[in-house]
Amino acid sequence: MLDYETKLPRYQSTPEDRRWLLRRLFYYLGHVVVLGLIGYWAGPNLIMFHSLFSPTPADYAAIAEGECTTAIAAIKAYQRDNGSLPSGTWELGGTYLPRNSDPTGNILSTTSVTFGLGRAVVEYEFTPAREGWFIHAPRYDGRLPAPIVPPSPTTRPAVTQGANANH
Amino acid sequence: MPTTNPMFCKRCYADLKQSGDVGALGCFFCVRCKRRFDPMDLRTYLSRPFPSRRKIIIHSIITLILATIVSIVVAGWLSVAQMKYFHSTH
Repeated sequence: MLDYETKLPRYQSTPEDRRWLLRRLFYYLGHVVVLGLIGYWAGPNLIMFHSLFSPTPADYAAIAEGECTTAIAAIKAYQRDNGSLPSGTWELGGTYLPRNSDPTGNILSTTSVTFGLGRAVVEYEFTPAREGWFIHAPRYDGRLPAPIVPPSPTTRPAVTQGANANH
Repeated sequence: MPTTNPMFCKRCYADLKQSGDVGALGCFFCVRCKRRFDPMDLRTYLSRPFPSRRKIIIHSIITLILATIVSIVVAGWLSVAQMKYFHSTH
């Protein structure tokens, strides 16, 4: 059996080796950067938003206002008339809000209502000190630049008020 | 060494000119990683110490496949991560 280990000369590194090593490192680093950019940023954005860029807070604000303002105004009207928040938008059906209206909002003994909008959760906080819109979305989690919603003018029907007056 | 072309190891990118003495054993080896090569066969060594064009294409394809897999995983994770904020009885 040949003993190549003892017969092979020891490799002597050259200055060129170091330069090429750096080039190879940049090459591999480039692949890692591309993997990171596509894997964490561009790819998920294309899958979730069908765009390279994620929606801005202003985009989210426009969607949230368009979808949820009516329900929030109805909840505030309910709170004004009853002194407390409902458990969810299903308690407003028929009186403050059309029955089976979308989206359904949950409050469940908290001080805010949450709506599921696609991959985002829109939250409206009713506490006076913190009142306003929030969104928990894939690329943005924070307050939305949207105005505070006033309560809807709708109140409990006159029939109900009359019925209460009879007692 | 029968050739004067620049030769570099395909595995460790060492300069194969330094392995000239080994020719006496009947075959050539890289002195750093012991990989065999034939100075007369261009396919057994690199002309520069950098991944070959074929390897660059393979690396690019692997990177794109990995990026797609990572994208799907990240998109799935980001999509469900927000649901913890949804008020729910569950």
